[in-house]
Amino acid sequence: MLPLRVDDAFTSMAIDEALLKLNAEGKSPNTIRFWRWLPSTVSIGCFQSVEREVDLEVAKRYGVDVVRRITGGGAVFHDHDGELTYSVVCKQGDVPDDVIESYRLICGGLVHGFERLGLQAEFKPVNDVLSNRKKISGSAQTRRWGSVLQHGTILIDPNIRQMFELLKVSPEKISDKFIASVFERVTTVVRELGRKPSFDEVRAAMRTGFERLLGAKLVEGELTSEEFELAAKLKPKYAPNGWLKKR
Amino acid sequence: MVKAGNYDVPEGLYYGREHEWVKLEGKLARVGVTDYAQSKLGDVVYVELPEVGKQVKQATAPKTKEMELGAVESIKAVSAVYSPLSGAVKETNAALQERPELINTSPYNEGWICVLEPGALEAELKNLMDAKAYVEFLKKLE
Repeated sequence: MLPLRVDDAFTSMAIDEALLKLNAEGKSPNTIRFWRWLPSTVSIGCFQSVEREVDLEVAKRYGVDVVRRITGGGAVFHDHDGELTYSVVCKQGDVPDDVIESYRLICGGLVHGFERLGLQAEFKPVNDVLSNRKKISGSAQTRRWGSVLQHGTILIDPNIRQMFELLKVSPEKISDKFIASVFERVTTVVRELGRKPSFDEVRAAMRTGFERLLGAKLVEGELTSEEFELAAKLKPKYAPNGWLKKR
Repeated sequence: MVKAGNYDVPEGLYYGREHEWVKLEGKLARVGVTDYAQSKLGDVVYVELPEVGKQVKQATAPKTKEMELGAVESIKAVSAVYSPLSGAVKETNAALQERPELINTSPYNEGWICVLEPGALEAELKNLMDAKAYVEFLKKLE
């Protein structure tokens, strides 16, 4: 388990890919980390079109970065102040071949973590965690080189209105009524708990949740110099003039 | 057709440990993913085909980029497709760009991924399984 980091999107994506690659090569252990985005960022799925998914003008105006993930799924707004993000890297043989079952397994750590925070939580296939039947966490995966990377959101207190301004939803649609309808499907830790826990508190709860899932203690570590160096090498790929606009 | 549990395993094909199949067609080899693989992946929504002309290597451990025949996205997960043989990509299945679900509905026929020109066929076939051996392999996984 790695320390809580706060990085720009390009660094964070590069760290995740470096951990995946080095885990596959047997040079990095199975790893879990929790981290935040600085500045807030919109990430898009591996094969999505940036033009189609993201309002780049609005992103520029808000100073929000845009990045392409190596994992699947859709466009996601990551709020610097409102989201804790997790990444799990492990050998492919450590999770079921069945993609849904592997989400169920890893999300089990989050479910226990939310419970530790005092929330009701359950896994909802394909890849969501719900609290009171509303989505509070979403995840995505990639399976490469014999290892698996799963990362995803832990919604603490994201700015939902800003999220829809950034994603390509027509401005007329973003009414108070629309935002209210989103809150019927999506919830946050703040809403369920009635207070805003610190990022460290959420991380500690999730740590306990994963320890319960695994029946083992997580060992605190640091990025190794090899991981750090590979991440630095991979970072340009994720930068705005890298592979973001390839589709 | 042989069955392993719920999974179809056609006879006459060769199988790799990463759940790809090989069908020999003269000097060429058609490649796709098996029924087991498509079932575990879930609904495929996008297929990234390998580039025609790409030189690939037969998948062994540890896996590298040279062993990849593109990737598929299913239910928010991007999974690499590994090459069961070394060689050059001669042709890819363009139909998958419009209809990625063919991987699920017809893994052994319309859902083929590419045709390879094998570079070391005779030696490498020894590393693949026939239908009977693949059925045994699947039984151990379930």
